[in-house]
Amino acid sequence: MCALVCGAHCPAAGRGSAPGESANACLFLLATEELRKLSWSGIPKPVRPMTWKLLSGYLPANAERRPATLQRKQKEYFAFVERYYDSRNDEAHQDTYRQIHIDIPRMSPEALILQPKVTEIFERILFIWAIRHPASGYVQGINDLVTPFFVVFICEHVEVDDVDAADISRVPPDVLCNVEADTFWCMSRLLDGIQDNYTFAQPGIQMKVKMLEELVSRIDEPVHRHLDQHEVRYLQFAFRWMNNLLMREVPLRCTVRLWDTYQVSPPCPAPPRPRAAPCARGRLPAERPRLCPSARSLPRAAEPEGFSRFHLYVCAAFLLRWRKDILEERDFQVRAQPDAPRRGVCQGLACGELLLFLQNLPTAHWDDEDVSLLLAEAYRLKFAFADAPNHYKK
Amino acid sequence: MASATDSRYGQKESSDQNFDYMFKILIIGNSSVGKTSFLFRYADDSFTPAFVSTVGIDFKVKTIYRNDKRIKLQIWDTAGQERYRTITTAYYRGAMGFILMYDITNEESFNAVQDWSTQIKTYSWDNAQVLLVGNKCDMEDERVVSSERGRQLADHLGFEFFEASAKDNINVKQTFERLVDVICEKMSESLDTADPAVTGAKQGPQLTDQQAPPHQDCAC
Repeated sequence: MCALVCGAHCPAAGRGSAPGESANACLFLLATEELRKLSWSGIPKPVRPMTWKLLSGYLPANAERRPATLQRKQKEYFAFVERYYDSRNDEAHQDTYRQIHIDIPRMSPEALILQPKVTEIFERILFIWAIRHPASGYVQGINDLVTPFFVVFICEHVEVDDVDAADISRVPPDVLCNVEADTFWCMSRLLDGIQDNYTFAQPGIQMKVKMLEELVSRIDEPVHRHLDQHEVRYLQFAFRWMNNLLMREVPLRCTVRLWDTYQVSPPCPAPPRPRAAPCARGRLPAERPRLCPSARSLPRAAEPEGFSRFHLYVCAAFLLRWRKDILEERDFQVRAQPDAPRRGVCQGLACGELLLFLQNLPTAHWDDEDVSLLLAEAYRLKFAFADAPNHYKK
Repeated sequence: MASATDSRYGQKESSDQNFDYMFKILIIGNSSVGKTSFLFRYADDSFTPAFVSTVGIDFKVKTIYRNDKRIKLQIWDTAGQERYRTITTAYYRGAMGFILMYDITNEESFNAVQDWSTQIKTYSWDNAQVLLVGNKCDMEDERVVSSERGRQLADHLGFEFFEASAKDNINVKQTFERLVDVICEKMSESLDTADPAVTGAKQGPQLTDQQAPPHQDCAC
């Protein structure tokens, strides 16, 4: 915890001011396993921006190197902007830009996103990312993934508690530039780990939804069978869970808490990776080569596999969190069944009922505690099932 | 006469078991032509310019009375972006009706109609009925696609045509009701010809399977 507190005292470490000797030593320890362990159970708000930058591998663990790194990355990002952003209206890129442009106003939290300065920042970040990643380009949903980084990083510079009420136009331009570049790089790194979610036919998502189905069939057969009997397909509700990393299912504050944990690979309960890979029918995503060469300079950086692998178990835990509600539909179904000729129709109706529920889960009141419970359950599931592909398999 | 059931949430409405038929309907078209707004206007009678973009596929249920029958509509709202096609076309099977939408202020969305129509022919069953809808007709000042062109294209593709506005609530209910009527007409035509290949579970869409028993006494 000491390390984290030191981090809190040196928020400007990356902004040019040389940190003190003891803080320096302390911060050097930050990116160690200790920080990862602490972050697993949630990061205190004051140190979150710094911690996220460290955990994502964006900032080097060595505090002395941070100002230079930040400066270089910020320069690099704005060089991209200068080089590419004017091409947004060219024929080759106008579709991409148009899609981004029409999607941003259709995001939440509305009051924040609709501020012209914020809209511009999101457009730039997404456009630059899209044209530098032509294999996927911009896909709806990627826009959502910018928000948590932006919100966490801007929170350092606004005084209101509710970021939605923050007036971004009062943030000094140079600070805003830094936030923009930091957001871009952290988001890029996250996307490097899940890019196959957004390439043609979205194979990453298709595979993860299949794996979720397979997993749930082993963990909770009654729920699996119930969904199947009611003709609810996993793709119908879990596609969005994967495509938007549950961001559409829980309030933003919960996503931020979720990402605290995602950014540290869950401590691996079982032996080495190769054995952890196969998961019954589906195979877990192969370790991807680092797409970002700069990551090499960050030896202890997290594999962003929280967002790829662990997310699957979070989704399973999330689905089973509603187990009772899902199964209650059964009584409804049984009541409906005496009307024999309509049996088939009733099934279809129950499908609608269940699907409406699964697409509009009542999470508006959720807080950190709900997320912590979810993560604990996901961790348990991963521990019990990830490395035991035949566990409970029929 | 058709009368819409008043309900703010599909949730409440859908728990009603009492209906004669269920139709599965899809709304398709380019991104941001107003598919979600159109559906919300119809199902909830609400409009906000600030809907979040649809990811994958969304779902609502609405019950209407039509020709003395209670008809439950399962309406699937699809994401318009190209990358989602693989996901969304998987839902075409079993749909009895489509609302193919473009935005009258956006030429590109109109140009894409042909393409969407091909998607329907490729992925849906042959008897699926399609209505072409030019949305946002309240924005006359920004119109770039004339009603005439819309109508001509609809004729050419063999679809019926409406211009509508989810914002001003113009022709929204009418569009859905007309689609339901067309589906009913097609159903009774199929029954009249007594062709088992048509009344049976054609191409195996599960919903059609479920439709089969009530089809026997279809009178609309």
